[in-house]
Amino acid sequence: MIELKNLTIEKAHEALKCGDYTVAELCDAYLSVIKEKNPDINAYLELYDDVMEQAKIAQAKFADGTATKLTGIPLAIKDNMLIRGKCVTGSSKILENYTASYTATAVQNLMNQGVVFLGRTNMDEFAMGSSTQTSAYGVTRNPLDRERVPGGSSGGSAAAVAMGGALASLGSETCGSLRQPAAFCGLVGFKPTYGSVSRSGLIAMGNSLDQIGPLANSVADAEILHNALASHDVLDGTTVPLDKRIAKDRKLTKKIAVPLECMKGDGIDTELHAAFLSSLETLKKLGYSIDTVEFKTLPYSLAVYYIVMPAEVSTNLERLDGIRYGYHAEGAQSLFDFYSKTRGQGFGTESRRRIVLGTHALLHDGKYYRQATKLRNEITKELDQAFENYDFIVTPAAPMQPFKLGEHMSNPVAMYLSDVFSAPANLSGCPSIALPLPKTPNGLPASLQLMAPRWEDKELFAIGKLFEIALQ
Amino acid sequence: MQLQDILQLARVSRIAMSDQEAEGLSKDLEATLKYIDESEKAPVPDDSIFIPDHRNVAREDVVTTTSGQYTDILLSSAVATQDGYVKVTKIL
Repeated sequence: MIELKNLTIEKAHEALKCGDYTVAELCDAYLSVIKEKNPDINAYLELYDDVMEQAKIAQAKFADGTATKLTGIPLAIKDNMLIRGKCVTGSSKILENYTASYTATAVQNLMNQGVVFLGRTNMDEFAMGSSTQTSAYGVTRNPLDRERVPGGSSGGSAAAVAMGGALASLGSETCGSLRQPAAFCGLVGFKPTYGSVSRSGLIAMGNSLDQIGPLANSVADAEILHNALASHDVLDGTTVPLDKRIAKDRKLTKKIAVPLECMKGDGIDTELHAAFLSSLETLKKLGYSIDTVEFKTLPYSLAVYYIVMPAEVSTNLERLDGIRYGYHAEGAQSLFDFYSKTRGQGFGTESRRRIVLGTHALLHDGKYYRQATKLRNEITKELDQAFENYDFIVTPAAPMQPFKLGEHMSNPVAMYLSDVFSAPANLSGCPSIALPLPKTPNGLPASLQLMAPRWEDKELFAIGKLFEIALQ
Repeated sequence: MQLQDILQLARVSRIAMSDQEAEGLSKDLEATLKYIDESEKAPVPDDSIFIPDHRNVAREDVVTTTSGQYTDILLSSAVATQDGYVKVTKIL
């Protein structure tokens, strides 16, 4: 029996290197957990049929001495990243049975090191949602409390790791879709600097916001994965050449900024707020002083996001018309009829809602999109200014703890608010990490979020590791 | 937002929508727009200019593939094909 509890990428690597167990045995251990727990939790939508072949390729790397830390590590992958020849649906009916014709660059980067992808995980349809309840393939339950949601949109990827069904997983976020499910499932979630990781082969949601990142049990695991995912890619013009990934020169002050609303606890669940305040004490023990800062533009981040994102969603999802691939409606009388029936039947409620909202925002360009772009710029400037005086900005990862299945589904704005602390990092391109805190007295997970300036990703890993030790 | 406005937006978005769904959507969108409109209160200077930190990325204008290299794999997902083309329903 392989002890999966407390296993890390480094520990698994050492064990595989020493021959304590084989890659196939490690994969088998995870597959048996999945077999037991997945029917109820629904983290995975599909287990790949070539897991043992992947394991064999990885094992060969140990034999010929080309193994890296990631070789043979069993991972779960969100259902919006392409692997050639495998089904990928964005958890939407409109891509039911779609087979990818190429492999995503970030995924290929990991394949080159011989990771094993166990299967693809459930998500909110086209990553639109914060609870994995908008999937066309059923809800995912939170392994920590099965009556509650795992967060979203990378909820399946988070649940897969939290239930012990993968050592770590890949997710993506447009606004909190890695950090919020990490917070809901007691994991580390990392959103890298915009431009670090190629999105070629990631089903696009909001191109000016999207990034791929890891969900993991520890900061070290997240760091190993992020370093392997990141690359400069000619297939994604927004990836920054490696020699240009330089943070702005600044003097570290050992000071941390906390936005006023977070200090006061406005709109934050009570027990979560208490956990947040107590985590600030831990940061103080690490030698940081904490200042409350009143940001002028930051509180408008989520409102700005709900203009920029739907506009980009409406544009991106335009390509799904049923002609070249995916679901198509029968009995259409004309091409327009074919398009609108296909899209009307193929997209779920939340996707239709956001496409229509985005179309509205774009039709009133001056009022919405231009204003949002200006405000986005002001938010970025205000964050940059704050980082001249503070090493990090710290908030809870989400204002709420995992809520019950079905909750907030009829009130879209209440659901959107769960990403209120996520938006600044996505709008400004800053890296951000969600770190698990001890469970609160109600037995639910809590999480701390740190934000750093662009290209200081490694500073987040460094403080994250110190924070982990301080909590032990 | 009027029902007709929603139906028009759905039409422009090429999404078939029933009156009943449009009515529900109208309520959802109004709540969302109300939230979005909060951003009008944000302090944005009139002369705020957005100069993105982006740069154009170009490559040499040369052909890097051979004709037909991806035809089969790309057509294999299409609903209908004919002689190496995607076939569509009549336009008018």
